[in-house]
Amino acid sequence: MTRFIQIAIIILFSSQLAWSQGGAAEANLKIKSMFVYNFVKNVDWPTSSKEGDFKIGILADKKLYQLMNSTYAGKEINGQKLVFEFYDSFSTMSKCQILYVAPNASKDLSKNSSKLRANKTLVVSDSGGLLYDGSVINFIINNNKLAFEISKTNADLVPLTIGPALLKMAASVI
Amino acid sequence: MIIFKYISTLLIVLASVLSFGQISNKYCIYDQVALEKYQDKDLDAARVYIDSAILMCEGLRNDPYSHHVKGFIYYELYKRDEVDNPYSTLRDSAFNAFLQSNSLDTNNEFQTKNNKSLRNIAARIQMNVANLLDTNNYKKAIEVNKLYKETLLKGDIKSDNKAYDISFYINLGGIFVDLYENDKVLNATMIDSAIHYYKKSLELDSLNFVGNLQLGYVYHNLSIDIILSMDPEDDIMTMYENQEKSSNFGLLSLPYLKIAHQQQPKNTKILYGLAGIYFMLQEKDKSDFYQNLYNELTKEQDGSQPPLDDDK
Repeated sequence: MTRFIQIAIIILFSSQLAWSQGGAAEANLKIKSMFVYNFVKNVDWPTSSKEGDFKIGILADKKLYQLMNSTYAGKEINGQKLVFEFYDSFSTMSKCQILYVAPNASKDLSKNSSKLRANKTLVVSDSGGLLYDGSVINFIINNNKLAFEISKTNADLVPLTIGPALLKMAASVI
Repeated sequence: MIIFKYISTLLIVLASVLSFGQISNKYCIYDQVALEKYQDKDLDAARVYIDSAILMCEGLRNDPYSHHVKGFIYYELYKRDEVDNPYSTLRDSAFNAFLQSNSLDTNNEFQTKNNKSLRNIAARIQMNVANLLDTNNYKKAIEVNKLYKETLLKGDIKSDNKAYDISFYINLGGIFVDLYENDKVLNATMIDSAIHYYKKSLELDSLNFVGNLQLGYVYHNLSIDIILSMDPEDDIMTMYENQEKSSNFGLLSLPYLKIAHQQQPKNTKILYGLAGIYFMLQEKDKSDFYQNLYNELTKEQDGSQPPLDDDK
């Protein structure tokens, strides 16, 4: 009897699972990219920003840039073609409608917030407390999920109109 | 062919007996002839003689020894002709003969050997089950496993099947995962079956390493697959719903992976999974903890990569 049990167990070890390809890092990056894409779709910019290409800058997150560029570049939203630019630092940044600021670059955000506001840029940050440094939308963690908070005050200063879907889904609006 | 041979031999035997007009007497020594044929490895003839003996000789019909001999003849025929057939009639005949022998064996002369043979037959069915455990034959494996259980009951075979049952359920779980992985859309429900069978294995042994690891794998992968399979243009509401599902699967994976990790703390695959699922759950500190353990254990291995690389 024991011999037959051993046969079954041998089969068992030949059919072990592997971790899902792609993995957690890729999945989290995808969620973040989809959020940013939804911000584009659910925010209204001033008329002056509605001409030409719609530029999305990614500061200090090469992987997010690569993913968004490969997924969304060339798509049109409200007649504007999406283009993506990657920046190493604020000093290399050019005018864009949205700027995503990675956590490791966020320490210089407050210094650049006036310039960004003048450029009518929606700043999306990714670290605690940055709504007080000029960011309009900030990623946070809420119940094991990526979520976001909105500073309507900062949005009004640009001025940007945040759509109702974002306001509804935001973890908090200040 | 074997059936024709069997019938023709049976007719010859009947004709010869009738011609002598001594039906019962002749039949009543055929169990001995059957035994000789069995010992000479002439199993087909042995079968004819033992069937004739039991059918035609009333004394042998109620003789435990005759049924004992019949059991061995049919068991050898089964091993020769139908051992890979999970529905073998020869095996059933052997099994029933040993049972019949036991029921008639008031002096307890043959029960030990009969019971050993009954156990061997059950083990052969178990082997049939093991051989059917693949993505093409799994339905038959489930069916034959049921037959195996019925056989144990019918034969009153006392056997500790826990290890076998756990292995059976875990194998089935793996098969359903394979089917799901082959076509996640068409076979979407297969993953529920996989979870069902892994859980059944853990009902028998909640600390089973493989069961916990596999179920942890399944939930971990579901958590990630939900996100990776999203349409990049999904609206924000759909994103939230999928994140919720993903998060729930991630949380479900944790207790199983942790049990597996407790048993094999240096298993890098488990550390990889734990680092990944905590990362998925946005718990960076815990993810880093397991990732550091993983890195320490793998740093001397050439070409190994950390599970997560979120360098900006």
